[in-house]
Amino acid sequence: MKKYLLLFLCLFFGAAAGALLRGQIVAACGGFAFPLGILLANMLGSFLLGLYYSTPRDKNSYQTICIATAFLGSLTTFSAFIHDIFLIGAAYAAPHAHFSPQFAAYLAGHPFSALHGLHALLNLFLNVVLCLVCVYLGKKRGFIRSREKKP
Amino acid sequence: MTKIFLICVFSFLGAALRFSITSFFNKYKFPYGTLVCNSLACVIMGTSFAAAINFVYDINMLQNTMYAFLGALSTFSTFSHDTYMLFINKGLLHAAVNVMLNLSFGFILFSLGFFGVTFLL
Repeated sequence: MKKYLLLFLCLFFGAAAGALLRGQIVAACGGFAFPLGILLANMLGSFLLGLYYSTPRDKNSYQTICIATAFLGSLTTFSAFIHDIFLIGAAYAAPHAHFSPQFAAYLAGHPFSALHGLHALLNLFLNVVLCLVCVYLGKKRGFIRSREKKP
Repeated sequence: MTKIFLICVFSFLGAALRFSITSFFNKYKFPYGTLVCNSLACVIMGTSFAAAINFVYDINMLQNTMYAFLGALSTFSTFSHDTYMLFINKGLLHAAVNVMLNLSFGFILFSLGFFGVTFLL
């Protein structure tokens, strides 16, 4: 019973903190036409996960569940990233495609309608590459520490 | 206050579902758990977005419930970390296959969910 209560508390507080922080980051970057908020949240989460796994960890401990699974998993998102790519592509294709009237009206009022279709590919490329770089930097504990180690 | 409460509850549900799915796929070397979570989140995102756009569009309700739930269900950090570890341990091919599988499954299932709901209903 105590085990499940601890599991519940770890998942609840980790996930809630991650989702609220992601909401704040996305709201702070709401002024741009490009989905920068999701990119920043993904990069931050990837860097922190790399930093967390820079030392060997027990994958089944409550600490890992709370920080890696709940908090960082909730801070970063894959579905909103795919959603933004789809919206940029749809907004670019809207003049030539036969969307439903509601969806066409939504796309016409969306800031992504000012973007080119290739921005979808740019978003995809930036997210994948920059998050891998962030994991690498976190694993190496950032630029500063890795430079200090060299003779 | 209601907004924060809804975000907390739905993100907990997403994280708990992802935790159970990844524990179920724990015994495999390849990160199938993350792939299943991301694909599931994408197909639910496509269907719920299409339903919201075509029937009743309430951006606040959608953000407080579905985006919190699906944002917690899908994950990018574990995906990046898995790709990095596959690249270190098994080489470029496994890492590239992981990236391509996640991206193509996510995009195809999102589109299928979106256009399926738009045209069938």
